[in-house]
Amino acid sequence: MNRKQSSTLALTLICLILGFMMAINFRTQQDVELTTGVRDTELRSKVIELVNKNENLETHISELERLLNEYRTKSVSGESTAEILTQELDQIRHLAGLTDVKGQGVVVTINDATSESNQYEDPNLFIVHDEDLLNVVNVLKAAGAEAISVNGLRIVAQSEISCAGPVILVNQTRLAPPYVVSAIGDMRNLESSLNMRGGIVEKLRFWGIEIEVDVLEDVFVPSYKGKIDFKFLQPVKEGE
Amino acid sequence: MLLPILGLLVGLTLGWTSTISVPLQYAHYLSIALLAALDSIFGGVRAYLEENYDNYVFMSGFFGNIILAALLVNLGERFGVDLYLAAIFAFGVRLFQNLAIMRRILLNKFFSKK
Repeated sequence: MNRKQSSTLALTLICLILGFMMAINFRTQQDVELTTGVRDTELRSKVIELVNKNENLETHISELERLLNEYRTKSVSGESTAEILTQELDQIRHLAGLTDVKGQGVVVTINDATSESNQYEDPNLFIVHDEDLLNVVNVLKAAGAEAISVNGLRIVAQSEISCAGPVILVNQTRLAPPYVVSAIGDMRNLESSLNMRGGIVEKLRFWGIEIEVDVLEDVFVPSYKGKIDFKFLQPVKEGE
Repeated sequence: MLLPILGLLVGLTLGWTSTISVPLQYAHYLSIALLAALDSIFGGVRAYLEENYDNYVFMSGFFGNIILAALLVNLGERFGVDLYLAAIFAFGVRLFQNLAIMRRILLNKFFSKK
């Protein structure tokens, strides 16, 4: 009888432990689903939604541009002062980066290091940072580039190149590697200033970052697609 | 047989109400351990029905299986092989076997009484 009692006690104890484990496991699995499963699908649908939205907006932009062109050609027809004004406007638009342009120049492709990084070394050293991209753009500007775009985003006066966690922010758009920097300018100048000894290409290659400079006769740089709103600036009239 | 079920319920409520939760990277350790525990419990019940239940065998089997399963998972993680599948397979097969034997014993008892 004593033996039976003790075995019942043992069974009770073990059932208690089992129940405890089951409850905790159940809760943990719920957590797992909450943090991975649901989130994954949610994020995926969000991405798809945003991509669709982006496409819609881009078609909207091209629509509006077409309309603008129509108005412009309509207003030009006939009047000569209007013609001069449109020419000036075009010039300014080129300057502001609001037109698609092409010409000789270079295309720089930058990608994270693919070689397995040593586990004792900081993996941060082997990825492309905003600073690296900024340096490349800066070097190109210094070498007299007339128009620059990063992954199809035109660099204009308001453009930023900044770090946003694992991605780089350009024109408020998140970019992931590979980064393709297209620049129009004297192609020999651009190439040699990039490839100069101790220059940016050599520095980045040292860390295993893949950087490729292609010299092309015909580089396409798209126009700035964003909206420029001035909230604070007020023009100062001459003579005031 | 009533006391163990009561114990199970108490354990469940304790687990529900407590704020203890396992870190996510150890979640599958607990799952495997739970499977091992279930296997031991069914083994114990089967032995009880076969009337060769031994307390020491049961207790050592319960804790031994849990620890062994957890070690196996850890080893698998170190080797990069999903060794926990072996544990799931072994325990799963045993669970079904034990259940089948229990069912047979219970059916025999039921029909012989009639």
